[in-house]
This record gives sequence, structure tokens and C-alpha cells, in this order.
Amino acid sequence: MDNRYQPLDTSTLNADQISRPSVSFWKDAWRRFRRDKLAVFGLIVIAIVALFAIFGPMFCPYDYETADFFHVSEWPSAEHWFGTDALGRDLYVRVLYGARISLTIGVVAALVNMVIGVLYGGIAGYVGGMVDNIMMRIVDILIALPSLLYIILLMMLMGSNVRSILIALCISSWVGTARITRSQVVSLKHQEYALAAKLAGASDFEILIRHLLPNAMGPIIVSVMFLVPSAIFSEAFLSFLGIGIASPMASWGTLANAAIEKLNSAPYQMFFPIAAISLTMFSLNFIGDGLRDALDPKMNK
Amino acid sequence: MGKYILKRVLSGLITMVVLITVCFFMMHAIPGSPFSKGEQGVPEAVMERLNEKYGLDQPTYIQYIRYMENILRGDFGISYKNTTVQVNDLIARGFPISAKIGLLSIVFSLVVGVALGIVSAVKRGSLFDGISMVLATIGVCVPLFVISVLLMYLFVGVLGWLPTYGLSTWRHYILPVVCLSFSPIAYIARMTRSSMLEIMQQDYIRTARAKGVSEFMVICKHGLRNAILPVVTYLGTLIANLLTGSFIVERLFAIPGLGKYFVDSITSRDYNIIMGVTIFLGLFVVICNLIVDIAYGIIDPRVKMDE
Repeated sequence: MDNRYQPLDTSTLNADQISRPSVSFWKDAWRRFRRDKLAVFGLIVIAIVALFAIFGPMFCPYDYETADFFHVSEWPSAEHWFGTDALGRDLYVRVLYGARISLTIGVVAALVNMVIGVLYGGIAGYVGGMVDNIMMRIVDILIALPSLLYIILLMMLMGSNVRSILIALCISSWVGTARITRSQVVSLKHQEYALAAKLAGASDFEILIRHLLPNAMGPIIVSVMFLVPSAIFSEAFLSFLGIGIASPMASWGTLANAAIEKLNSAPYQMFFPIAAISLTMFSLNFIGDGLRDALDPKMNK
Repeated sequence: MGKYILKRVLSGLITMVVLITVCFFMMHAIPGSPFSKGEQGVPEAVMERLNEKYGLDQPTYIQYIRYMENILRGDFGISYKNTTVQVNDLIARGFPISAKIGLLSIVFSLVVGVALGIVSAVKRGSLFDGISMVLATIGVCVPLFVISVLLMYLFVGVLGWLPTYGLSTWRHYILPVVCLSFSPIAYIARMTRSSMLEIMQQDYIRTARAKGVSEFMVICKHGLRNAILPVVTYLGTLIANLLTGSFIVERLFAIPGLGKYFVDSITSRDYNIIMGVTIFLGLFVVICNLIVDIAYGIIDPRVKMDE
């Protein structure tokens, strides 16, 4: 019996197999995000605000525009949870409608800005050279001016309503995202996998969309996340000055604006809209901070 | 260095031209002549004369060239609603007041913000650090108008310590300046704190301590001078923020500054005033940014000159 040719013990063959399921970048990010208590708190608050904004008005016997002159400026009660305004309109419903407007504006503006900014910055960064130079000079020019100035001009042109605020915000605030995308793409485009894709015959557009942008997504998502509160802030700012959304539509800025004159006799009219907007802004900023820490581990100190 | 300054100046000039052009054509895109709206009583002949007088019968490009020339001469136009009102008068009346409040706010937010940032960094993890960082978070998250309304309600309505309207005594300045500075203080404190924390771990700080330099001098001379650099870049943004912030504060506290005139003209849809003031504010911001950029290039030689 020759035992020099023993079969190898097969259990040693799997030594380099990874015993646990591999953790993808997004799973890892989600795990880090969940550990951030403030961010999770923010997420829960925003979810609640969104639920109330969508379904709240359905369960409420009042609507946002019908005046009731027998119940003018009433303090909060069981009938009117947040009280009524100077025209007897139920403030609870109006604050809920304000939430609808703010959240819609925040989400839509952020998404549109992401698409414009990512494409613009991606193209500038990938093509490079003269095109990049010209495209980025345009961004420099736009960034040099306070965006509220040209948002105001655009509003003058298009009238005071939700649609024109949205358009103005979409035109004006993609520049930050474009800058971040560009710098990411510039640093990624010379990586080996981009070269490999090119050798495999992928078109430039394919390389940009399928290989470069997904890898640049972390910082882009963070910057877009911070666009949500800034869009909500811009709308509230304009409405508070009386040049944003016109009455009888109710946005948090409009409600606060209407409450200034009665600040001493009916402070609750001011309290609910500004509490709503502050809570939302806190939550969104916490989510943004949490996302930044989760998606950008290198930034962690 | 010369090339860097030249590039910045050039890009600033282009920004200004683009701003004026965009403003002009946007205001022209609004349908109707300034005199045809809302004044039904004006006879055809009078309207023609008015249009002729203000050059509104000319083709758009000639109007554009004229407008450009006027701005180069420092004339920002007149109000078409009330032709005795000139944009230049509004600027002359409102801008000094706004600038005074703005300057006070810059000084106040720099002093308080940097001080908070340093103490928080040096006493990292202490109660003071905790409190000032909570305040900074509030300043970053809560919109200016909310802070202004709350402070106004508290100090004017409830406590009655401070006057509400106008600007007759120094006590009138306190609330507007504090409101305007709230969020800048938050940003500056956060920035100073994080850069201070980073710098206090550098080797040259250890060297300075090893040489027996007093802790106060280490913080002020070796730490602060380096930690303050990012704050300088923030100055440009700060000025732009104060400018838009002044729209709210001046309206709330009834301060007759440029911001209030601007908002009033928007509410009354006085397009020529809006255009003139927008261009003026835009030019102001561009010039401030230019100065900040150049100053930063001089203070910090590490800035990439070819950028």
C-alpha cells in the first residue's frame, strides 16, 4: 500500500473563503447611519411629518381656505387643535398644508437639482479641457451671487405660486452639486476600472453613467440631502417676506408672516408654524449630518 | 500673485456683466410697458410721449446699451411708478443704514463666534463646549425669521427690555444685530472649533509648549492665527447672508435700510427699482467676494495660485 499519494484534506481548500456574507457599501453606510441617534430621530420625525402632511387633512373636518367669521383668532381648543387665524380658518389644517408645500418643494427641488447638477458636473469633469473650463466658469458666476436675488427676479417674472418657486429653485441651486460631482469625476476618471471599461468597448456616456457616477454617489447624496432644508428655507423666507406663496394657500412662511401683527395678542398663531418649520429643519439637518458621516467614512474624525 | 489677482478681477467683471444682462432681459420679458399697466386713464398720446422720454420706444438692444452706459456712470435708473424716485436716492438713503448694521453684525459675529470656537476647542467635552455646540446647531438649523420673531417676542413683548421699531438710540441696534449674527456665529464657532482642534495637535504647538511658551500665547499666537484662516473664506458668504438676512430683519424691526426698500419695491412690483437694487446688491457682493479672495491669497500663501 503506497500512502504517498493521500488525497488532500478538502476542508483546507476553503481557507480563503469569506465566512460571513459580504457587506456592501450601502449596507455598511446604513449600519453607520443607524448608530447615529440624532439622525434616526430626524428620520422618524420627518416620516411623521410626511404622514401627517399626506393623510392629516383627510381626517380633519375643516379645509384650509374657508373663513369662519364666528370663530376668529380663537386659542387652541378641542375643536381647533392649533386655534384659528384672523379669518377664522383652522390653523391645524393650514399648518398641515404648509407641511405639504414645504416637503414637496424640498423633495422636488432636491431631485431636480441632483439630476441637473450631476449631469452638468459629470460632463464637465469627464470631458475636461476647454469644455470643463467654460462650464465651471459659468458655475463660478452663478455661485458668486446670492441665489435668493435671482430667485426673487424669477418669481417676479413668473408670479407668486408654488410652481414658480419650484422652477426658480430648480434653476438656481444645482451649482453646488455640479461642483462636487465634477471634482469626484475628475479624481475617478483615471482609475483602472474606468480604463478597463474603455478597453472593453464602453462608450464615454456609459462609462460616466455606469462606472463613474455610482462611485461618486456618496458625496453627491450628502450635498443633495442638504439641498432639501435649504429649499424649504428659501420658500419660507420668500413667503415670510410676502413675495412667496400667496394667500389663501398656506405655507409655513406665509402663516408666520400673517401672525406677526398679532404676535402679542395671539402668539399661538406664530408658535405652530415656526415650531413646525424648526422641527423639520432640525430633523433634515440631523439626517444630512448622519448621512455625511455614514457615506463619507474618510471624513470621520 | 499678479496673475491670480488678474484672474479673480476678470471673473468678477464677467459676473457683473452677466448679472446686468440677465436682470435687464428678465425685466424686459415681463409683458407690457411700464406705463401701460394699471393706468387706464393715461391717453395714448401721453403714453407715447412717456415711452419716448424714457427711451422705451427704442429697440431692446439700444435700451440695453443705454442701461449699461448708465450703470457704468453710476446711475441705476428711476422708478417708473413714481418718476421722482431714483434708485440712486434709495441707495444713498438706505445703504448707509444697512451697511452700519451689517458691519456691526460682522464684527459681533466674528468676535463672539471665534471666542466660542476657541473656548469650546480648548475645553473640549466640557459643559461649556456642549452648550455652545447646541447653540451652534440651533443657529445653523433654525431660519433667521424664526429666531428674529422669537427674540423680538421675548425681549420686546414679554420682558419689554428693548425698543421695537426704528433706530434712534444705540439700544435699537441690539436686537437687529443679534438676530442677524445668530447663524453666522454658529457657523464661525463650529468652524473655529474644528480647525482649532486639528491645529492644537500639530507638532509646532508641541514645540511651542516644550519651549515653555505660556498656554495663553500658544493658543492665541500659534493656534488661533492658523485656525482663523477658514473663517476668512467664510467672510464672502457671510456678507451675502447678511445682505439677504437684512431683508427680513429690516422689515421686522422697521429699519429704513436698503433691504426694506427692496422688499417694498417687490411688493409694489416696481420693476425698475427691483432691477436697479438687485444689480447694486449683486455688484456689492461680487466686489466683497473679490476682496475676500485676494485677501485670502495674501494671508495664506499656500492657496493655489493657478486655481
